[in-house]
Amino acid sequence: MSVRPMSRRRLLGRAAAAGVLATPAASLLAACASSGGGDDTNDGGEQTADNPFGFDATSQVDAVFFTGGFGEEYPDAIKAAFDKLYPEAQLGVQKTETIATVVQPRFAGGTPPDMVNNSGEDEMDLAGLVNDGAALDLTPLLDAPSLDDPNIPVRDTLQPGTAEAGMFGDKLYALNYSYSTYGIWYDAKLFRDHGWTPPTTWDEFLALAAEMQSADIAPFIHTGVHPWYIHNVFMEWIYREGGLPTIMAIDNLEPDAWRSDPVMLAAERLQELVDRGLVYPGAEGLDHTQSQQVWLDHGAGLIWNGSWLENEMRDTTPPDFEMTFAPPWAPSNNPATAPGTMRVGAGEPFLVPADAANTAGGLELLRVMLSKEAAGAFTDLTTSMTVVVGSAAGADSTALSSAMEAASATPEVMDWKALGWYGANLMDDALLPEITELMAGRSNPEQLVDRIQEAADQVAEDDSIEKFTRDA
Amino acid sequence: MRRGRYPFIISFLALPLLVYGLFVFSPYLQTIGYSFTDWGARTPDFEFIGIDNYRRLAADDSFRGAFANSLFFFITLPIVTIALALFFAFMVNVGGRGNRAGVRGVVGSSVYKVIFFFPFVLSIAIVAVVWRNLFRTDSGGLANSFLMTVGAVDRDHPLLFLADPGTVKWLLLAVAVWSGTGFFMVLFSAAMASIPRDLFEAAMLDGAKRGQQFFRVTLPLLRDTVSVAWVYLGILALDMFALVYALTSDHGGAHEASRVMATEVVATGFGSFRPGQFGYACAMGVTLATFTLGLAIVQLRVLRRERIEY
Repeated sequence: MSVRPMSRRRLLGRAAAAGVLATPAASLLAACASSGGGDDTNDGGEQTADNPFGFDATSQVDAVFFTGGFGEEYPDAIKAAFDKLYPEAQLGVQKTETIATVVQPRFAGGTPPDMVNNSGEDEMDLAGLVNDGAALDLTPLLDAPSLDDPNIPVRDTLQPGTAEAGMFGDKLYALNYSYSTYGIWYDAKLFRDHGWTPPTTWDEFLALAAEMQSADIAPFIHTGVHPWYIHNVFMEWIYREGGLPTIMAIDNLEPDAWRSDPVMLAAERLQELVDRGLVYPGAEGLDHTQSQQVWLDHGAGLIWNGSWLENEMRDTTPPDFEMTFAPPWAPSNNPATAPGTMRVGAGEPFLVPADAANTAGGLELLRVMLSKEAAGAFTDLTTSMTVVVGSAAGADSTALSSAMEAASATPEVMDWKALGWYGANLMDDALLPEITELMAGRSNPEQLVDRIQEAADQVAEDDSIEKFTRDA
Repeated sequence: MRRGRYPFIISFLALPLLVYGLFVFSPYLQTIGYSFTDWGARTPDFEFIGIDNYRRLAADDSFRGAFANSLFFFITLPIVTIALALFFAFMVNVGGRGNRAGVRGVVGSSVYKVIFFFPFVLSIAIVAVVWRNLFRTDSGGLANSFLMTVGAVDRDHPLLFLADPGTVKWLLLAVAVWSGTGFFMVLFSAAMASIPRDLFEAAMLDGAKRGQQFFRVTLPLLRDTVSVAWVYLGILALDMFALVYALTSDHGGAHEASRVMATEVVATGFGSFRPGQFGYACAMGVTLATFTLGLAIVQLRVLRRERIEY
């Protein structure tokens, strides 16, 4: 086949064809991933006592909920409560188990939702969002009149510590909704049958562990795939042993705060758990539901978890299992804090993006969630307390009642801040990976402490990271 | 027909090319663009910082570890898969013996074809669930419980398989081979089927044993197919994203040994966000793509040869 010489007509024709194809390509450039800055948020309507944020009752509100341990039904209950109050508003509820995957692109494109329940394994880095100015200051929510009694501001209807849990400096960026108890869980029936009691000191734990082992039950289990769980044990032991001063030094990024004696002791106790074989064999490769199921099946006696546990494992809990809560035991026999000291506090953060189209709608949705009706519905569905005082009604679950009892009897409430303020650097880069290695027998206490201290020093020296302090 | 050929072809290609351009080509170009910025993907603002991301990448230890792992898969995966696939294809098509004349496969080869191809058909979700439960690290896992029953593994020290940095690479390789061999066996079968039977019969008449037949007759004639398969497997090996993401804890990020470049890109871009992290992830992605393309081109050039006409 011979090649025909190019005639002028064919050349022009081909050029025109190429031009036709190029025009859509030029408009494609406009569809870039980072479109320019988003539109100004709408100013909404008038602010009145009934409508403290100037929420337009006919507008669209766009909310994203995390449906993990608390299940999938509670967002519907909240939507029902909201729709009852504002029948003309269009509340769109999106449920997902992967928050960052769903919401991050919207942040990046400048069109975030009006309210985000930032939780779960795939949660967004809250500290980073605050640093970037992407989260709205929720202080107006606290000052607003509560839905149930307009004479009382929302702030006064909440459990103590709720506001502090979501504060960075003196601004509130995340409203924590569930009032969770964190600590040790066990089967009261199993313990009754064997005559066991939950331990409060290290020696008590060792004695209990020996008895459990002779009953062919592993004393302790954790999930190696999600070191977040075991890191809580580590931090609780530090607090139990050293009390508030140790933790304050850590939170304020004081030099060598992580090399103090309580921290070293806690790390050594973790190593001891591994060395003495007190951990369920194979726990390093199990994820949270697998390890929780092993515990439910009496493969292990004690597990660290939070009050979402009952709801998360509801479908597979044996019928005669009496899920009961116990505050954490101390890593020594004479710790600085009294037995019963535990971490109870607001968890499950909800935030309003600063660039959302309807921030008033997001704030109003949060205010509705903090009403007794919505909070009560949440507790009914999830057997988990909310931060709204007086919203947890009848408790016919041993888990909820034992947790509430322990929470009201606690002499001191534990809390630590640094891991939340500097999460990416301290947790993801240092604490979580190294604690995984330690629990798998591939590290040692000195290495753990060194690595965290190094990360804390880096944060202290890095001027691009905003620092926070606490005095109490 | 000649005069109307180009408009005819263009009318069919326009829409698919547009879709391709919008959803594949344009994001590629944007990624290259963002790799020169400090975009954090939390807000729409960013600034150009030149090649700083690439400089940072050259000094990044964890990326270097991921690169080494990807290289490991790049070298081992094609060799093992192709060797197994060739062996199976040969046995199933040509390896049979017996009293009957002619060239055919071993007994039951039609059953074998189904069995070997089946893993390729399974979706990655099923593969992940099956292998994770097989390799579960306590006595509840199939492998551990079998080994414990047989007595090879102590009850108090179950094998950690995918959670063990020493063995995770080899297990990932094994699952990848298991998953992909079937497809290449079918590919090579088809190639072998196009080889005229007379050549095999001539070799058999000349007294060639199975091994000699394979290395002297089949393999040289399959050279084109094998080299294409090698390039394709090399690209797959440099990817390995789905398997690592699904089978390992923290999606490959937990240990040095289980990271590959593809998972590093995703972990950096969508993990805990630090300022400028997304631009860095884009730089990683561009490096991965360039490396893959470069290797593929080199391979194709090296393995090229004159076509054999028969």
